[in-house]
Amino acid sequence: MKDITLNIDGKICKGTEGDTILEVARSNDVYIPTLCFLEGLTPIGSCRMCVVEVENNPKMMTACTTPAQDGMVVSTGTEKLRDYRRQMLELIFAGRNHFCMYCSQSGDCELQDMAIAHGMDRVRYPYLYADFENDATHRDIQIDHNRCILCLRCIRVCAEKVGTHTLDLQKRGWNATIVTDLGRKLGESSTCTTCGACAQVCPTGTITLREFAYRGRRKDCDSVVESVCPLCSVGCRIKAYVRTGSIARVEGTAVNEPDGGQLCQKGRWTLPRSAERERISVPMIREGSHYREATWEEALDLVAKQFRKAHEADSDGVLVSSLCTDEELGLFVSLFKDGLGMERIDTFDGDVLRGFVKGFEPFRKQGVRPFTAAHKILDSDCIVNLSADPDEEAPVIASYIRVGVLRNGASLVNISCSPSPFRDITDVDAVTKTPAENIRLIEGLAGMVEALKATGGDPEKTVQVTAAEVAEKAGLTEEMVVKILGSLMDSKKPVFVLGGCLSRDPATVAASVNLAIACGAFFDDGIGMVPLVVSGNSLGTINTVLADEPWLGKKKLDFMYVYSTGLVPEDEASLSAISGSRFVVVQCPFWAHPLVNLADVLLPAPAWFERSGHYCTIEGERRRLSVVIPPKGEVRGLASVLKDLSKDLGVTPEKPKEAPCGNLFASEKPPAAARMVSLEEVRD
Amino acid sequence: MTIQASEVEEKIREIVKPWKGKQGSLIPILQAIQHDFGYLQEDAIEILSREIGIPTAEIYGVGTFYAQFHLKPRGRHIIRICRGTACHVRGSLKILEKVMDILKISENETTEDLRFTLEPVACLGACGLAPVVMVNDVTYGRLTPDSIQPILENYK
Repeated sequence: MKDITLNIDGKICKGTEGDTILEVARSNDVYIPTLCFLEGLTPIGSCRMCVVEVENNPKMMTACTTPAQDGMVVSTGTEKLRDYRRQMLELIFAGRNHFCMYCSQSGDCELQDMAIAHGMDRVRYPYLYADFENDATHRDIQIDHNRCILCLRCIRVCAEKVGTHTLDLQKRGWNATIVTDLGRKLGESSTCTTCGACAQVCPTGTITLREFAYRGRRKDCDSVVESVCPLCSVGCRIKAYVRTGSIARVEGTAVNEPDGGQLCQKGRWTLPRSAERERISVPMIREGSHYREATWEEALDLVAKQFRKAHEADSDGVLVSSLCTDEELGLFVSLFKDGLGMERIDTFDGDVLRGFVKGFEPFRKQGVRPFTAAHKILDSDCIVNLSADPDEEAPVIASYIRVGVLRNGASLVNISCSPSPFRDITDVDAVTKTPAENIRLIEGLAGMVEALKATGGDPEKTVQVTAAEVAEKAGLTEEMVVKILGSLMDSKKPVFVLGGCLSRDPATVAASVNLAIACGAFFDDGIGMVPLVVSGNSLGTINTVLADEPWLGKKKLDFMYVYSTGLVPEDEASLSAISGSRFVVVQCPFWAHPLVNLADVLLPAPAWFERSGHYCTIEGERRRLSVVIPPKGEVRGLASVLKDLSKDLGVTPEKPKEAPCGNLFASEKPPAAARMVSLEEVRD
Repeated sequence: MTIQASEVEEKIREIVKPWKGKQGSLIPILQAIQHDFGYLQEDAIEILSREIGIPTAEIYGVGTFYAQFHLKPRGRHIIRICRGTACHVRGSLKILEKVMDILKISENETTEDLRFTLEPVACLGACGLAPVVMVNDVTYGRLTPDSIQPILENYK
């Protein structure tokens, strides 16, 4: 890339060939007003606010779409430009209903800010008083078309980042409005995932979220805290707006991040709503059919007494949430594993994780990292969905897949026991009847791809012969197998998304990695696998609390300590094992039913917004969870509670030796060094 | 005339075939669909969306942008009533009202039996014959509210 130099308002500005005038200006701290532009989305130059004058060019140019050229002399703030911009604003105001005093976003509106900045004190054009509809059919999202300035940010974020392309523009001129699907109302949309990205990018009060309306303007909030969403394995970065001690709004970060600054429907609503949930505010002890309040001292004494007794009888167990931070997991390990020498410690969803760990282990031993950062799906030209249902498991992954297919032209192959969750955009949908057929298909494909790549000989003949065998073993048609092979062989960089249910059989996980290696799915950070490992810090539990072998439900225990974040429902198996235990201690921030009903002692815990620490995410990063609001009342941090408990138990917990998942993302060798392994190794 | 869903699917596949994988094919495909089906029906758009990988919202946007596309069924016969200046002066409003009264529809609507669609237009370029009405390709001039009814009866 060639370096270029521009003169913008007399300032010498350096840029790179291919940059727009706006990009060069921004990177050199020259301000150009924008309205429809949003970094990360395709610029369209529709609002005309960013117009600039270029020497020797009679036209005014939109800075966001005009490529910068070496030697350009640009003016951004002449009287002519200011007049023109003010005129544009007046036309926008005259076009629809922009009467700020009736709008929930007044004071939090980019259009209003722009008008104020440009001294627009009146509108010289007659108002149209056009009467558009206010679409209030959706439960959470409202679209008042009367306030729309047609900047198309919502359409672009929906198409380019979320990938559902629910929104588009209908009709022309003054009649143009945002439209949902086939002219439907938003509440009737079949494609909308209720992620709220459209509202997050809307510069006016057109698309608003009921949840946050009148809860506080962004700039009036006392603080904005960057944290991480704990709900699924992606661990999206979030911004939490705090006003008078409560969470007023939760948003994604910048649109130019790989994840597009999205939050999915889980994060967008569960997080702020959880702040309104009923809390366990003081320790409680069960008395018959109800609980009575107790002091920390009394409650911990009772816990320690029961714990000690059960521990001596080797009948105690600990179950902790995989939404805990690395630091919290470290505390559990140092008390229960290192201090007390317990083996019965595990996380909810431990079976899913163990499957992944066992399946990945042989490749780890080779020194390569058997997975890649989730957003690398966007770099792939062939996405293989292996028994995953990303819209349920990790919705942002579903966005990556949709954008990869619809925008980047990747092909989509589904290999699963159930039909593709992306029905309309799947190229090959290979549905096997049983998991056994599924693994035979993956194994067969790996073998064939390896053979084909090795020989490079007469592919047709080889494919024809073996494809029939693979098809028979997998209970599919030969045509289907040939189609999958075609997609895999054509691909330069396939990526494999592994559903949580796949890990019930570690051999299937290993077979999938084999297939990825055969296909040459090598990314700069690891093999092209994206395992959907349940929740926020599932990866962090791997080197900490995750048990080597499952123990839950195998024996009726006398004592069970359960730490839950109360954000995701506990699985049936865990609940039945907990309810089968004689004495149960539940530490949880919320009255999370049915878990709290099983407790003999209830201990308060800090909620997600009161804790801090680190999460290991499948985005390949450790991300920081921050305290949004400090804990109130009797809620105490985990460290101090466990310290008291260990005193009562008479153990001195050792300090956590190192950051629990410190080496999780490490690799000694490049992914291309990985070799396929025999599945017998995994099948023990 | 109702077309079965599978028939629609087959027809759309046939229309799309020569265009598969080509950029900028949406408008000619929509034209072909409208030619075959008379208008852009909802299920046809949904099938088309799956076939060519363009979201329904985008197709809908294109369909509503261009005046040439129709998302509602159109009548077998199109009545275009000139509302240009000359025709207006010579009483075209009365003719429009008469037609609306006879057919029991408003402007830009279609009769329930799909016999007529009524479209006021800006000028038909036959001001010498004002007021002018076109039914399909035939132009009728110097009309009065009374002379329009017998003309419409010619179209079944």
